[in-house]
Amino acid sequence: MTAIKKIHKWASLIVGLQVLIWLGSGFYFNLMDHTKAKGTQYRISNVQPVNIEIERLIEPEALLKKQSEQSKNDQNKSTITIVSITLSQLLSQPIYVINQNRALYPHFLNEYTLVDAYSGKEVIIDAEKAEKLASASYKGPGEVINVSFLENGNDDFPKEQNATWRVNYDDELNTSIYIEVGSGRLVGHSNDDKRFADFFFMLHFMDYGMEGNFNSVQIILFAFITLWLTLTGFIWTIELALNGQYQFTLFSKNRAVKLLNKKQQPLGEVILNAHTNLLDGLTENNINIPSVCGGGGTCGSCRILLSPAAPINQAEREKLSVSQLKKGYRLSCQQFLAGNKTITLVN
Amino acid sequence: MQKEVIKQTTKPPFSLLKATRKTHKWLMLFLGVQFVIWSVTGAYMVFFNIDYIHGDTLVKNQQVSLVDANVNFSIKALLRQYPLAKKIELSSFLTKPVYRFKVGEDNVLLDANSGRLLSPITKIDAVAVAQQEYTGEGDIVSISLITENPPFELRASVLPAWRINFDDFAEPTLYVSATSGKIVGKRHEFWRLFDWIFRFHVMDYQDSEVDNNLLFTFSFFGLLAGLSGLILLYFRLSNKRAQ
Repeated sequence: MTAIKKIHKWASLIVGLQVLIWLGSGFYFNLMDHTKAKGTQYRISNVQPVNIEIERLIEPEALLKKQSEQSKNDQNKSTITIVSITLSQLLSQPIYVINQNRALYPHFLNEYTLVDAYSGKEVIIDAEKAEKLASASYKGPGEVINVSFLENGNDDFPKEQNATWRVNYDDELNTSIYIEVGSGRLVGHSNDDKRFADFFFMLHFMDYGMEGNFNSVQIILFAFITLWLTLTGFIWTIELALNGQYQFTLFSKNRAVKLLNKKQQPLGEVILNAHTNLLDGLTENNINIPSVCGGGGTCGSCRILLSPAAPINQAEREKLSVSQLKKGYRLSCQQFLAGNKTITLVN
Repeated sequence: MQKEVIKQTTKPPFSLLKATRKTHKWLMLFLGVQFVIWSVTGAYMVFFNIDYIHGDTLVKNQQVSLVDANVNFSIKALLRQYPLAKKIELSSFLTKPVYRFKVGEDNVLLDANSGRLLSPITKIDAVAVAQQEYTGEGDIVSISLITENPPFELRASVLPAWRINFDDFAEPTLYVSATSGKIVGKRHEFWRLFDWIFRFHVMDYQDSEVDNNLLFTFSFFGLLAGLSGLILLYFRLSNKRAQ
């Protein structure tokens, strides 16, 4: 048990504060306003579809042909793949989204080219387009303050790997809207409410580098040590229960017991509760027995003398010598009234 | 000798050490099991890379190029035939160029060369898609078409779908949409376990939500238990130094 208690102490020294942070942030996730935490207060959910004039559409096949010709004429013989061509819309303009490299998810690195679906001319998402796209998804009271280009990643959407435009608004929530540069896709809305919640997620996941995941070295290490903390605590609790340390003082009887001093001279009687350990019971009667650990069985300083027949537990075996145990020395924090008729105070 | 009962005259002074020890001891009697669950499930979630958990390593995500493919069925013809078509995408299915689009809630798959309707796809094609994309070596152990009551791991919105199980480590499964021919789900035992682990972590035994009353109670008292533990640690360390 000494090892168990030592591990418990040292593990709690290393991870104790983080365990409190985990509990506190977990408590916050339980209480937080989940709609606010999404950051979508000012987001328009549905986009008006444009009417496509079928006869004006150029064929996707023509785009493939053009690429095929270009590849043939290219001196470097660099081949460009086209994985998919999707008919989509940019504001009110029908476009084709040509995907040259399709990642497993949109937020993984993708490669796109956009072309006007009527003229076939390439469409570039510049700052001006990004601002219009952002504002088309925005229903708040703010005006655009600035538009900035972010090459890789952003703190509001740490999982996003593609380059984005960030469009900032001057509303009371400091809304930011992110538009993917390559495709014009709306990455998402963020605001101070979301940032507040994200701060707690960052703490809970120990994701200080804003990687957008919970697999960092530091959290793996802390989780490993926390396992030792909780498992040793669990064993300790079972040990306490087996030693009869969990007893309700309610409904239990009080009984008088004689106290003797070191020289076996009577000091008088005290009335003790059968379900309170002797250390606590004597303290309640203003008899101060030295204790450093407060009754944990870890300091061994609350010795008393009972009869040699008194039960012995693990903590006493570790803190008292064999001869002391044989004489009837015990730790008062580990003992109960039981059949004891006299208690000898030794300190 | 005269017997004398020692009477309690004043209350013993409040001892922070004793109070915190009692608090920690008694709270942990009720919360201890949940602390073990939190740490074991939390460790599981952080030890396994989340991309691995999501089955990203199960699929090749092959980039089949459409350049030089024969696309003789025009998008104009498609729109005349299906005026309600939405989200039209020219991409590939096995080695063929195809159009994929939605009519209402339904997926439609058309051969982009002939304009022939390919959806719903055949069992043979579904298996071919799974084999083309699967990264493992194992054989297929079972194939079934799911049209209703999907298992917990598959979204109802992607039905109908073919479920293809492979004979490999961690029992991988690929789900192929019967209407779009795309991979719509990938699972292995580590992800299936992760789903349960998460529910245990947030103490949700009904609908995977974090804002349940059970978690509220346990995390509130858990905070008290944790705080009392830290105070005990402080006493234990400072006493060591004093001795």
